[in-house]
Amino acid sequence: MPGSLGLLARVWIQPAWSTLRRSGLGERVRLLVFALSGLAFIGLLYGLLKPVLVFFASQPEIGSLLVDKLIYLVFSFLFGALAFSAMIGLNGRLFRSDDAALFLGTSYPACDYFTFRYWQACVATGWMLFLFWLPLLLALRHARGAGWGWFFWGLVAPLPLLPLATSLALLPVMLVARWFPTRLFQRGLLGFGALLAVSLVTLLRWIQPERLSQPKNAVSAAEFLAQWALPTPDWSPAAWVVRAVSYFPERMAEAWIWFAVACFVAALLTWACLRVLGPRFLDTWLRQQDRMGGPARGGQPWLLNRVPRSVWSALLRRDILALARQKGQGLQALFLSALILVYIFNLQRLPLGDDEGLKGMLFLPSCVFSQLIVIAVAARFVFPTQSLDLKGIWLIQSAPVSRGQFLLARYVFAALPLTLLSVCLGAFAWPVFHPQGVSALAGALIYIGAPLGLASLNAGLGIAWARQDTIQAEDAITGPSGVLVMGLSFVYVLAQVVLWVPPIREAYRLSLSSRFQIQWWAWVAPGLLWMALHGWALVWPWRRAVRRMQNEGL
Amino acid sequence: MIQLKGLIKEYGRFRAVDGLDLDVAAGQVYGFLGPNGAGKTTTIRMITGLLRPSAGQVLVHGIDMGFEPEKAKTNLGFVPDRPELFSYLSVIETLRLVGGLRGLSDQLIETRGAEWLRTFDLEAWRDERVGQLSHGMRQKLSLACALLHQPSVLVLDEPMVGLDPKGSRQVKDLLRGLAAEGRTVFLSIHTLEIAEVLCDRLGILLGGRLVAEGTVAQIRERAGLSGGDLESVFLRLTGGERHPQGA
Repeated sequence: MPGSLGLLARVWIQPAWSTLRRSGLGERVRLLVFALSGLAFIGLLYGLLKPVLVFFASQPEIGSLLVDKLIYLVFSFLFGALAFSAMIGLNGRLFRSDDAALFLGTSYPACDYFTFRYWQACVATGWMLFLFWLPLLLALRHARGAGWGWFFWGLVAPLPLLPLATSLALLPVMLVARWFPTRLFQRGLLGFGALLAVSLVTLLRWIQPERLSQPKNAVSAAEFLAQWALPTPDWSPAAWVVRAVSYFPERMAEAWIWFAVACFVAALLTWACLRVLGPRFLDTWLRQQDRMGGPARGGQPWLLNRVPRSVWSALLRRDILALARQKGQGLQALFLSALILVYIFNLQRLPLGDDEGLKGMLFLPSCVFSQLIVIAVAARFVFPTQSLDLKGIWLIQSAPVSRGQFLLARYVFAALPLTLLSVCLGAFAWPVFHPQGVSALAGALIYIGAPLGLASLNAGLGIAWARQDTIQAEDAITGPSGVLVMGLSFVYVLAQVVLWVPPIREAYRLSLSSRFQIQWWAWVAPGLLWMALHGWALVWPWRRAVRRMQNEGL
Repeated sequence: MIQLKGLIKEYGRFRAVDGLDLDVAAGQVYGFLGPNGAGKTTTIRMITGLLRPSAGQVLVHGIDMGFEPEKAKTNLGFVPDRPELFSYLSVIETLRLVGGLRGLSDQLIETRGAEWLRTFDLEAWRDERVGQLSHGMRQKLSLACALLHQPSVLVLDEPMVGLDPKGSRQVKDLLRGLAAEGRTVFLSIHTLEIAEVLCDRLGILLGGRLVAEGTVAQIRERAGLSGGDLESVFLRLTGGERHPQGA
């Protein structure tokens, strides 16, 4: 019988390794893209942080103090984020894992299972620390002119933060699980996390940290930070780590002492948590099972009950419930709302002044940006809603509902909200750019026409490429078909914007010329291509959907 | 009530159903038997309009399923082999969806829905999500959905799978009761004992072709096993009795 660490290896690391070894080319490419994205993120953050830190460190007298304060702020934030993330991870891993019953139903010691989950959560949240700390550490090394020895010490010194954060997170998780359903706790944590993330994004956009690249602003920030008295209490784990990092190598002994303090407290807290809470885990888990006895209820939205029942309303009502009850989509809706707010906020602050030329030049790119948001919404919500809906479709198909009616209901359900969103985005962009003539026509047709095509692509191909092997929206979105739909949507939007360039240029040329001589090719060829493009987007996906339905008897 | 005329279904070169001719009268319980892969589910999906035949005709109440599928489905109820429903809907929402699609009024859906939920002991689960139900419960809910609009033709694909003995008895009594009311019940079934008790007529399918058709007595006679049990008759007709000897 393997112990907790043996279990960690057998249940987590070994299967992951064998999956990696057996994975096909596509899977490996995805992994490579994922790894490269991570590296790109680290590189980007390093590139952003390096000049700021170099500037801070170069300030006479206060340079090192500034850097220390900055690291302290970063570690305080990271420690809080780690504890919060560990709370979500532990709550899910301890009480909502499918394999818990497998282990706890046998003679396998519940304490070992608990310890295994503890370390798993600890490791799984650790990546977050290094994803942010690594680029900062690299930038710091450059700013301080320190050697690689300091860099490696900087990698090791924050490690005690991981068990410290996990232990601190464990206590509320276990306490809550004794008296409340963990499902509610999980939702509360995720909701709070999403709100926090949205607030942070909005706050960052408000502050506009990129302004630090201007020397005048950077000096003001440095002066502000130098005068800001940060409380760095001796009991704060973030302060221990900052001292361990910044005292090295000049005050080596002190650096080691603070590192030892962090390690000792982390070990003590971990030992206490595992010894005290471990034996109570089985009892808490069983209590939680009793509490989970009540399955999720249907609670239909009030408004839906007021709609008279008909074939159309039955189909639309079902689509709304499918969308509203998809797991994890609420959080994504919050993030996308934040993205939309940030876009609108930035749009309003564009320094265009009265430069009509600049406005005209930026109008089409702004159309593309707004349609990127529509693509994100369609790919995130419309495509998976259709793609994951195959299992119960026989209920609809065996009823006296024509295929056309069924498909049209799905299209309307997708097209209405997307068009509404696009028109709203257009309404915000219009007063900023004041498009005239052909540009205005192009804008109107893009803002109204593009979401109709995008709805068709995402809904039609969602049915045509429907998945039977999963019920997770995430799988449908990140799977090959999801990525392909996103790619096609992007090409569709880009192509129609590009097709508007010749007529707009032609109109501009005519406005400058004294002779009214139209070059028809600039209108006719793009016009024909534009119609073909929309025809393709509106017809092709549904042909594929019908073919799939005919072939598979849907 | 149900007429199949020269029904063929091909998947590429593979012929799943090969020229099926069948006539099921009103008030009958018709059992469709056959080994795995014989074409039972494919036939049932063509009868219910979920699959388009490669050739041939399906007539329900004399209405061609190929030409007027909406009209043909009006009086048809269907329960598939796997009761996969929309897991995010509650039990009552599922009934409301089906009722809405069938054009039933709100009041009728609520009244009849409550009746069927009571019949199938699902009242306590009325507001629970379908994803939380057991296989047997989902099977019962599928039946409730199929019966909500009181169809005159009921098509069921292995309806007893996953049901407990009480549920199984309930469904058998229900199907007999529906036939007694003059409704047609067409079902595929694997349990030969139930088929023998429940069905007025049987059809045995093998390789997409009907190898025997008629009452249990007629089929026994056809197999040359007048005194044998239905299992022996079935194995002889489908060639399955060779396997134990060969093993």
